[in-house]
Amino acid sequence: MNGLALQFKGVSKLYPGAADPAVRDVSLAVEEGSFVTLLGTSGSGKTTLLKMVNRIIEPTSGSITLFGRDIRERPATELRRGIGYVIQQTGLFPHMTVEQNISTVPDILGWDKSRVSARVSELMELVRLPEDMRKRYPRQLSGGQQQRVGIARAMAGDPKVLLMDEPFGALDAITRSSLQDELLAIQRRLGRTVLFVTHDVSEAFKLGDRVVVMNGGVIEQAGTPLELLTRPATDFVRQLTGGDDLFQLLELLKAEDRMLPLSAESMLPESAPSVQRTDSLKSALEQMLRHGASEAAVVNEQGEAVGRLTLDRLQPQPREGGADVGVFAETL
Amino acid sequence: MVAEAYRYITENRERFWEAVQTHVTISLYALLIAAAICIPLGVLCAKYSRLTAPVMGLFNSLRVIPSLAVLVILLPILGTGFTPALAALTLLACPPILINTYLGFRKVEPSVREAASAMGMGAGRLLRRVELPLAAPLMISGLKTAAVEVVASATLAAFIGGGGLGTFIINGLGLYNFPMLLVGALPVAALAVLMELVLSGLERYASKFQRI
Ligand SMILES: Nc1ncnc2c1ncn2[C@@H]1O[C@H](COP(=O)(O)OP(=O)(O)OP(=O)(O)O)[C@@H](O)[C@H]1O
Ligand SMILES: [Mg+2]
Repeated sequence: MNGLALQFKGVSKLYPGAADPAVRDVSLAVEEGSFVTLLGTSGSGKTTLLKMVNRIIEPTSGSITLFGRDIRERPATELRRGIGYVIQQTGLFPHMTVEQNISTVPDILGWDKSRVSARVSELMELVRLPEDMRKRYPRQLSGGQQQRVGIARAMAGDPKVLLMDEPFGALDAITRSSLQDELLAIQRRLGRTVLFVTHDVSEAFKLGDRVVVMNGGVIEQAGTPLELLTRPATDFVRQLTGGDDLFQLLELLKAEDRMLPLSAESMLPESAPSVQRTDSLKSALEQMLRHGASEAAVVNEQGEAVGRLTLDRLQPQPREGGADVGVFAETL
Repeated sequence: MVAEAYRYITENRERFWEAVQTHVTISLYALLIAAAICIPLGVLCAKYSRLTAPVMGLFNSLRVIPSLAVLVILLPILGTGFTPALAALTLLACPPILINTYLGFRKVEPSVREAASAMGMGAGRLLRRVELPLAAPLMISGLKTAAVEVVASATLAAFIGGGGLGTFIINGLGLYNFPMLLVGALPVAALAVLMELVLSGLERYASKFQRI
């Protein structure tokens, strides 16, 4: 089991002059290496909660620890150099080139020139920015490219924790979706802890190992996407996630979650389409409908058949939630 | 007539160069002192909104007083000569520098500032690496306005015995000596154009990132 990257203990924030706290008595543990999405409507306190981690906002009460150390132990500037931060408006420095933007933190940390330059190349490759954009200014880039620079800049100092506040909010659906995929791939590869704010339910579900639903400054529920869908703790969560929306569920479940073992007597017909074991049930259904088949073969990465799916198996199974969850030790 | 003016210059080379020197010196001093006072003041106004209204109000009201009037007002306090002329020119240079510094700093996006401090920049680094470069184009443009105004107005310094190229103009006017008037006026115009060109070049350089 991994250790805890972040722990909020009874954290509240009351802005001066406000009647109600923006964040109220929030306790949350974030495991090292996990991708946690903060989901909630506008004004629910997501940004406030996020900004308390790097002390852009100081909590009114409660404490936050980063890898077991209280964040107030160190000077804010020092703490921040170890935490990546990405925001929707990108906050890129308009007078600096892509290269200079990305090397902000390495420069502050006093790395030598060749090391900074190598790091910039590495990061530009990681976020898939062509090398010839190195000398461009932010305004010469598209919104999606700017956001890539923002992510590269946040990761430059190799922070263990990455805070992201609606980084893809202003992008079109296609760019957004491909950036989501890339972010996921990067996170899987590097094993960084990510705290990601969004008000988009499907984004939260797609990215988060764990989704934290906020409303009115409190956490309504924290759990895996499947848990939230199958066992919503409150009406608010039920409403937000669309309750037992079958399509959402099909999107979250993978072919291997429902496949039946192969057996000699149940030979698949020639016409049956094949789906990857990690494909969602939704895409499996799509394949079956497209081929007019009632069965599909499930194959592994090498293309070998490892099981089969039938239309029956796509129906909601009784007490699915109970069987599939339990991945996370609930720490609330 | 221009030829006559030229002859006058060659004949009075020393006097002419001394006047040019005084003119340039008094203008540059005025600009430097104004910048040294008004750039920090503009930055403070941008950071602390409580300061904005009183400081801006004060300098804007100074702006409407004609420079000659400032000279005359200062006369009884500082007497005649170089110092009161310098003081008047400094006052004249202040408003554009102050206002443009203020505007330049206010124009820095809050998200850019927030990102900078979230990256772990301290206040000093934020100022040097982010705020100043971003405000620079506007600041230089303010400096340009001030420089042209000061070079032109330094002519008036001669009225209170401050010396400079204005001396030729006053004498020329007094003696109905047109060539002599040109000896003062042409170099003043040339200096103003030179200032404008140099600072425009600087401004273009500083705003490169906005234009590409
Ligand atoms: N600097 C501030 N001063 C006073 N109140 C604030 C401040 N920032 C946020 N608030 C208030 O705190 C509450 C929570 O704001 P917050 O920005 O955390 O919400 P959010 O969940 O991020 O919303 P959104 O999805 O719109 O970004 C809101 O009611 C907001 O008006
Ligand atoms: Mg927000």
